[in-house]
Amino acid sequence: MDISVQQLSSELRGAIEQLKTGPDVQKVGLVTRVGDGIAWIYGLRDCGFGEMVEIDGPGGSVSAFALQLLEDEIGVVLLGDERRITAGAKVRLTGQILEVPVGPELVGRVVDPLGRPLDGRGPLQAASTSPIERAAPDVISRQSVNTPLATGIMAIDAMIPIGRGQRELIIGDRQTGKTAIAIDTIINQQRQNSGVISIYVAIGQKMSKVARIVDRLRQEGALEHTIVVATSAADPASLQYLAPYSGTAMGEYFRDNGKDALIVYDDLSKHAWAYRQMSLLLRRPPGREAYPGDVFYLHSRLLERSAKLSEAGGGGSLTALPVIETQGGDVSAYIPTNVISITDGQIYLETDLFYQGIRPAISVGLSVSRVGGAAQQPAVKKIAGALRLDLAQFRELAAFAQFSTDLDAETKKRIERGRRLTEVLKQAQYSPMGTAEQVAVLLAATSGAFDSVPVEQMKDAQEALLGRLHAQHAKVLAEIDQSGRLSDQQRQDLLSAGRQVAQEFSQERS
Amino acid sequence: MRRGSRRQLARTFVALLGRHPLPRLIQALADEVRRCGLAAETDLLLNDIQHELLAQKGYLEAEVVTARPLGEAVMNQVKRLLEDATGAKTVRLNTARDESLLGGLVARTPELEIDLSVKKQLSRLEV
Repeated sequence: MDISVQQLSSELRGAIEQLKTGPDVQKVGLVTRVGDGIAWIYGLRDCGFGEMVEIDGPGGSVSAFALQLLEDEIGVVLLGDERRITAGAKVRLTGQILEVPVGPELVGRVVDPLGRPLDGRGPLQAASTSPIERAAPDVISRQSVNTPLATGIMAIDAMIPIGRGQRELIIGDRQTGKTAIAIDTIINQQRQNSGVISIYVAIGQKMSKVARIVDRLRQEGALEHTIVVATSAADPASLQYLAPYSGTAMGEYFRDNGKDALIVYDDLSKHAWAYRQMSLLLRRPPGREAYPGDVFYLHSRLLERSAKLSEAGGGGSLTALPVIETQGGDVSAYIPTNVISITDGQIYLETDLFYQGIRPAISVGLSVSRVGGAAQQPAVKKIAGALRLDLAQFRELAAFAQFSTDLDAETKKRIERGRRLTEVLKQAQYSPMGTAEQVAVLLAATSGAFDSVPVEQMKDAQEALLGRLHAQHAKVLAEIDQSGRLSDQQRQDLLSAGRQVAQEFSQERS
Repeated sequence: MRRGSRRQLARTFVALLGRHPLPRLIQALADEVRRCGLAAETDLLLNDIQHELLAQKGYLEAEVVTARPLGEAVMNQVKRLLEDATGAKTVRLNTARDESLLGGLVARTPELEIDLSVKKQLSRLEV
């Protein structure tokens, strides 16, 4: 037996010594009122903003955090069942702010904003925790966005490119495909093997929707690279308020360890509603649309934590895709304008386009990426200029399309090109495309190679082109995917394949 | 309708202590409590007054709960402990009995609790 009694003796005495603690001095307060997920506390004069307290009620202990510090009392937001505590319950100050588990152990799991598992796969084995509220990286520890984050959606990667570390808003009315874009982006990270860890934060969503998303991610094999932080509409406002901050803390772990992470906040409108509810119950003065005065700061401090770190800081990144739901297409409402001004661009989805069958229903004119251009793949960038120009001209002329018989040949040509480009940019859900595939299809459409293909057969022609390229030019596709560049020879190969396919389709027509 | 701050009221009351006759001060305080709509918060007001007594005059009144009666030496030790913990210059102890503590003591002020009971130490061992 490998044991020394002398060593055992000293270790035992040391352990006993550590057990001897000083007097257990605790700052205590008293619950004076409780209801609607809020409790008012007497005492705890030293309590800090956002500090955690423990309330010992007759039904057990409930955690809460302080959000309203007044002269006579403190308003705290409960994180547990309010029925477990009563007026008169003792409140203890913990001296800590809320922390959640972080680390690779969370990947593939579905958790709530406090890091408690919701997927029935047993307890988390996370070795680290991180405070949910942290300061954003400062100027010195950042660098400009310079690496693309491919969404696999042609319209976005070509015209509204997103870079790693960017904040790109997805905005639109209900049922316009906002979540679909976010989920496709997560799936594309797995398909392209980009190494990006995704975090999907569901804020006040229907649990059936969250279950559907988790199931789809599992089917696609993307859940293995994803953390889902879920709150449902039935959860207390406090949990809905915490969800994006918890998800961000989980994403920051990867950012700070030199990795790339993507976080989707679905959606920040509901987050603002939850914060408005808490603020009104805490008797904070209501401002525009009854939101409290600091609702801008609510989102700006959250989104500032998404960044591309400098090489000295490890070069990691956290890319944010916040989602905002508009009412009746009103982007000038309070929360949409706030988040538009905070983010580095927006993808605007239009109901009309959606019901015309143009999906993703991206409004090219109103969507913009302010910093992603610097990170765009050179191969796509080369083609994107022509695409934007063709579509802009088409938008101007589209109104005259009904008078086609009276138009000159050049105008007609532009309208026809625009109609074909619009067809090409339609993309089914859960079918993200690789860079080379996008380049091949866009090149064929913008160069005029597909001008002879009937509009209604454009998608078939696109499929035929991709099939041909995978069969005959797989090496070219692989090289473009690898380098992100398009040489003159590769361009010729792609164009020649495009022309052959177009010829087959135009012969079919005749 | 509430119109005043409870803590402000306690602060003013304690500041005026010793400068006016106590019955007159108490009457004035009662009038002010009624006027400010703070009658339902009288207990909390008394706690605030205790806090202000400590802050302005260095006077602390605490409750000491024990399982068995304590000797004077231990009481003096408790006083010193409270003086160290709160910065009070004068400590007055009110005693109470609770046999469920098993041994040791618990000292309480409105905003502080010092638990040196055997019950607390045993509950730690449970974890």
